Amino acid sequence: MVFILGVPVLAGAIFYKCLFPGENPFSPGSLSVSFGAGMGILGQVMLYTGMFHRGINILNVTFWMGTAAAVCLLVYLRKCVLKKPAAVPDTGRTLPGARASLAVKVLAACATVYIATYVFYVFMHALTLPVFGWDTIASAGFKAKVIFNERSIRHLKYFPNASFPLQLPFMMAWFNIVLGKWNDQYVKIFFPLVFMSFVIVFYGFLRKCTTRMWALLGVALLFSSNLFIAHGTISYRDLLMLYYNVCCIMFLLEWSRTKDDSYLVLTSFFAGFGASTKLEGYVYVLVYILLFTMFLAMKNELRKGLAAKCVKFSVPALSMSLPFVLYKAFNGVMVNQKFVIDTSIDYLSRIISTLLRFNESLFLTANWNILWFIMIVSSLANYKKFRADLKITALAVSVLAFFAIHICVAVFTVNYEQLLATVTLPRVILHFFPLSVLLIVLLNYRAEV
Amino acid sequence: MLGNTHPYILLYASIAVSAVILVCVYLLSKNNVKAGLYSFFARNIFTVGLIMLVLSVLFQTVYQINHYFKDDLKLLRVPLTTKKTGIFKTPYEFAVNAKKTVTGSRSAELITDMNINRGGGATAYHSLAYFLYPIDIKVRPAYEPVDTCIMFYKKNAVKYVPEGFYPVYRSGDMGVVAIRKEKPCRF
Repeated sequence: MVFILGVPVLAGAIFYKCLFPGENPFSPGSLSVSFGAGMGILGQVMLYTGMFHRGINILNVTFWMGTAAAVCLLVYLRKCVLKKPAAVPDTGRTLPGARASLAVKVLAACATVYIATYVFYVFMHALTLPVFGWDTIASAGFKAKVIFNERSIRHLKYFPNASFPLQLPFMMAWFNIVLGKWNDQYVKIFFPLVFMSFVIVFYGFLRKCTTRMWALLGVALLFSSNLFIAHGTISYRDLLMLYYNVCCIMFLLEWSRTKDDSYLVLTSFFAGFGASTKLEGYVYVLVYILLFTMFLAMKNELRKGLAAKCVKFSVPALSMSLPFVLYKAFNGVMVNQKFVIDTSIDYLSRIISTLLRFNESLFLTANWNILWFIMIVSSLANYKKFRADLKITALAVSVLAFFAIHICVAVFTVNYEQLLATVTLPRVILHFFPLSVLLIVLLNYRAEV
Repeated sequence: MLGNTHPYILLYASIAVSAVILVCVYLLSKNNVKAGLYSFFARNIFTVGLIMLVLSVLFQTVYQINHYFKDDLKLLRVPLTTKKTGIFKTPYEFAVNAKKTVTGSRSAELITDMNINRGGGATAYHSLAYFLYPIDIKVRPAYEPVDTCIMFYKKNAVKYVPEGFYPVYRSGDMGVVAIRKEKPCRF
């Protein structure tokens, strides 16, 4: 287990250190980002190894992971030794809260106990049962077994759902390749770890914008969603997509606050990793571009060195996502089977049913509790903050953009029925659902509490 | 009367009723009703919503803890194969027994009466494919000649063994594994 997780996390930590030389790579926040980055790098290394018909085995993967880490290390050394040490970015800024009253302390203690209970539950439940979800058995898990057995992706075009990105199958295959045999139970370790990593990054982001109390409340609100908890215990790609997607938005917000371009590069890499996780990841890039453009338009100081910023924002994402697209195209696999425009129907007739379905999924299921309702009420109660705080405006814009994307996909593509199915729609909403909690916390945040 | 009402509609209704009560209290207690009514209303709806959320979270947590101690804790000591049999039932048992008889990577064709595109048939098909692997009924037959036939949920399965194949494993009337004659298997 040390090797299975250690290799990617170490590569991720070196990558992180290369971007943020002034930060401790072994703090929980850094490790949580390193975990996601490391898994992304692992996926890319396995993909390239497979694409060039080298055997996907421990030796090859470890060698190329080591090479990737060495490149990061060289960049880091160039930053820190050959040149002047880079200034420590303002990433650890935390707002001091007022002296906490007894009631606030009790509330914080309750929130901590509540969060700890659920983290324990997620780990235990995930590792008690073997993989059993439909998607894992029918698609991701099966592909992982093929990769594990054949050590290649030569026959990709015959895979079930061949156009789907392979990040999760690669992670599962890596686990079992190192283990030496197929294990259906402990392969699920990735999911509680992704869950935990996301929670730490989420908490860290809120802690930088608010006080410890509000950050804890934010995590507690996040945990009130049944679907989020459930996805920490099953083996679906959606939690990984949520992690990369919401991290991208949070890093972009951090970039606009700190003006540190390392966040831009990190966003771009995570956007690429997201695109390597689910097909939706390709489309979500539009939201990141929208936010990037919005920040450039609204903050003059961000426009310095615009060309370099555009390169930093686009090149890593393209280099992470384009090779697989080209590989699919050259191997006769449909590039994106989900976004085929449906020309056979009257689009407008679909709009009402789509909106009703979204309404039902957001407000009348136990998946999100009443968080979306609270978000709307919070927005109405604090509408003045939208003009005052760019973070809040950006979050609201991104939430609307994500909804717009999925409504458009439902209305205009052949994916209509599948997307609006009872089990599918909540899963795509899950990819950006934590933004609602961020909005609730930031809209209601009062420094005096 | 409320038995069939959606629980979340009840929740929103109770928030709305609370809001109306709050507004009435506000109207009765203030002389200048217009000033601050909007923010008072919005804030209090938010507070009531939050209280409802905390209540539902409490119920949810109690349920989860109860579920954990009642079911999950017992499963910790159960062997993995027993858990898989419990979850996947016949496809898993059939696949395990078939793999005891036929080993190695194989290109296999599935012959079945199930509708493998919808509902329970699809679930059984994907579970079978997952657990049968490396006897491959999904990917390998597309690019390699079939050397194994899997008859699963096929009435009088033995009758349907194709020419040139012979049965090596039988599971009741509905399940048979047959392999090509010229490719002897290691068992």
